[in-house]
Amino acid sequence: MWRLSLQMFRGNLRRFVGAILAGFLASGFFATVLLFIALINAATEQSMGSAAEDNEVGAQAILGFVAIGLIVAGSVVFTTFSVIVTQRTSELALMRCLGASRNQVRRSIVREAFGLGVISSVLGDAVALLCATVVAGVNHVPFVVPPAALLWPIIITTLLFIGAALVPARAATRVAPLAALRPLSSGIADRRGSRVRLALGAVIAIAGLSLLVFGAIAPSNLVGISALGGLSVAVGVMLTGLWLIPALVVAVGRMFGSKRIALTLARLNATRQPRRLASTANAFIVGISLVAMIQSGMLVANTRLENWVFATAAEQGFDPNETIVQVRESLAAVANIVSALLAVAVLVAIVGISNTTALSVSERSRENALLRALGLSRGKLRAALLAEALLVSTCAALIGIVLGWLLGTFGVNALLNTYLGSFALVVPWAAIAALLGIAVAAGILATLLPARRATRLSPVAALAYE
Amino acid sequence: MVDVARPLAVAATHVTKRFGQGDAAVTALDDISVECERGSFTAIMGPSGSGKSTLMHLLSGLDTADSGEITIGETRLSGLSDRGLTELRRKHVGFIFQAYNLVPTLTAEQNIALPSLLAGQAIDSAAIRSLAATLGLEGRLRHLPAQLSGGQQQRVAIARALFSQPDVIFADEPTGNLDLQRGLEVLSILQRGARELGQTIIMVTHDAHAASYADRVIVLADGKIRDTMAGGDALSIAQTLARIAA
Repeated sequence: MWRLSLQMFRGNLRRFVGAILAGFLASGFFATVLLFIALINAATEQSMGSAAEDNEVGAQAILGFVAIGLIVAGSVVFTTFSVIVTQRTSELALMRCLGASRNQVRRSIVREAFGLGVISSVLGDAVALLCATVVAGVNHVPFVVPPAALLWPIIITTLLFIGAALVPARAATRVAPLAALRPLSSGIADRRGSRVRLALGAVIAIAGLSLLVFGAIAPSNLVGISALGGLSVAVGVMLTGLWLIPALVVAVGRMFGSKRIALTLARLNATRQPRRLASTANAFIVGISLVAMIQSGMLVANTRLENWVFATAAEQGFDPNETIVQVRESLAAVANIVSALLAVAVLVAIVGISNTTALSVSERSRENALLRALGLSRGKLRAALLAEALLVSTCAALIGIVLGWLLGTFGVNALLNTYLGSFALVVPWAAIAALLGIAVAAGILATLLPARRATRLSPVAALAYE
Repeated sequence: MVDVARPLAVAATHVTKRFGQGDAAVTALDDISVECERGSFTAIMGPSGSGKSTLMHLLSGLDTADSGEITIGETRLSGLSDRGLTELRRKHVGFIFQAYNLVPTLTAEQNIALPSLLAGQAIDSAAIRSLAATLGLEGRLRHLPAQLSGGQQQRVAIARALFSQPDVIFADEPTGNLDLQRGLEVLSILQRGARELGQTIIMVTHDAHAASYADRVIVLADGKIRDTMAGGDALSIAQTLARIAA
């Protein structure tokens, strides 16, 4: 069976490209960080003659960003397997008819996840190792590669991939053998979440928002309250995402016009499978909201500090401008470094959007052919696919920006509450514009390949395609 | 083969199946009893909605009856767990579908061996090759399904069903996707399977010509058996069908 599984895995590899790319980015980042920590230690040892321990805290902070990237990659894997299990319903049912047990079906999916984890993390290791070796060579650092720095990314990524595939694998075991005899129906609507979850999420989000704001404007230091509030808002948004995201997509889609066929198709297709939409968008929301949070928080800190410096300078009679330039530069530097570290998570989420679009388009190839046969032009079909990806990426970005702004603005105000200056309500417009730009670019990037495949297919060929 | 009282491959007694509830309830099968002897080739016919597909689903254990008893070989289906049904499908039942019969990423040979591989049995490659040769699949065993014609794909599916020598093979409109000539080839292979190999076959079809290859034709309408013919030519079968539909 192993050889057979391997061959089926190879046959399906095309569908796994997105998951591999996501895993490669996240685990490559992991390996790079571990290798460069070792590299820096080696360099310090070389120049100082003793092992350095000062980097510990910084290393742990950076590993936090690695974890975020990995979690986003895990969500891409989860989405991929969820979609693939739906698409392979006929094949899974056939296997069940031929005597595959539920366990064999589950194991086949888990094996695929294992394979993807190993492939993507080994690729990541290879690239990270190449980078580290080049840097060490250029700087003449005697660098011995620690095996752990290459092993950990493989172990963690593979476990993460298997974990992410467990729920879809369970869904695969529920495919009835009888499904092999039913005609293939593409847009199978997935289950909606419970109302309890929606209500709970809304309550948690609103209560959290009140705590967050209260901690920021209260006349005493209530950082703990605000932190709890911020965490609750994030949890609430994730819980309500299954409703919030489709609702926003519908609203934004309608805003741009409900008469245009491409836009209507895009809106309906994007919201057809709320779970798929939500899990794709959530990955993007995580990355975008963290960047927005950092940028908003830094702007608040900057504003409060400047106000404080001006006030103190007026009191004590020194020129505030020099100090302010220094403060501004150092805060901006920190914000940019942190944003750059989050870029990996954002990149992985973009791969996720692209992946979902590609899988959905291949799933709907017959439907698209029917639309073309009924007279939808090639350009209109391409526009519909583009609009669909743009709706997903911009709506996710909007939610991420608002969430990140709330957390960053009120969080940092709460943090500095009784120390520096007074409450500052500011909006990092430049950063927001940049994030929206990234979202638009992500949407366009996501449809480049799938749209080409979908529009090249002739109506007749696609209808005959089994 | 000497058979005093030929044992039954499949038996259904007083089987009833309803779909839906309350006013929307539809009786798909109404107190049906069928027996298929070993080595027999039975065609189940009937207009759309007559219950012929439902009957096949129940006989093969893909769906469960509301009442009545079904036996395949020596196994009673009622009360079998998912595990038990899986075992049954592996060893005692073969399937040939109208379309989507083969796993697209596996070669013809691997598709033929799949049920045995799933059961963890060693594969006799020579046996596969000789079976493939009788079905005209020489030199095609290493091909992927996409590299085979529709008729060849269907013959691979038949080879897969025959290979594990199950108690019964269920064929669901096996010629539905084929042109006339390829359809005839498939039907005569099934007929030979029953006559020469003693393989029990139950075929669901709405095509009178396909049914004429069977030893026995059962005609269903509105969930009841309306007629049982001991074979016959396509014309007489078609006339019987037309009489029942009228």
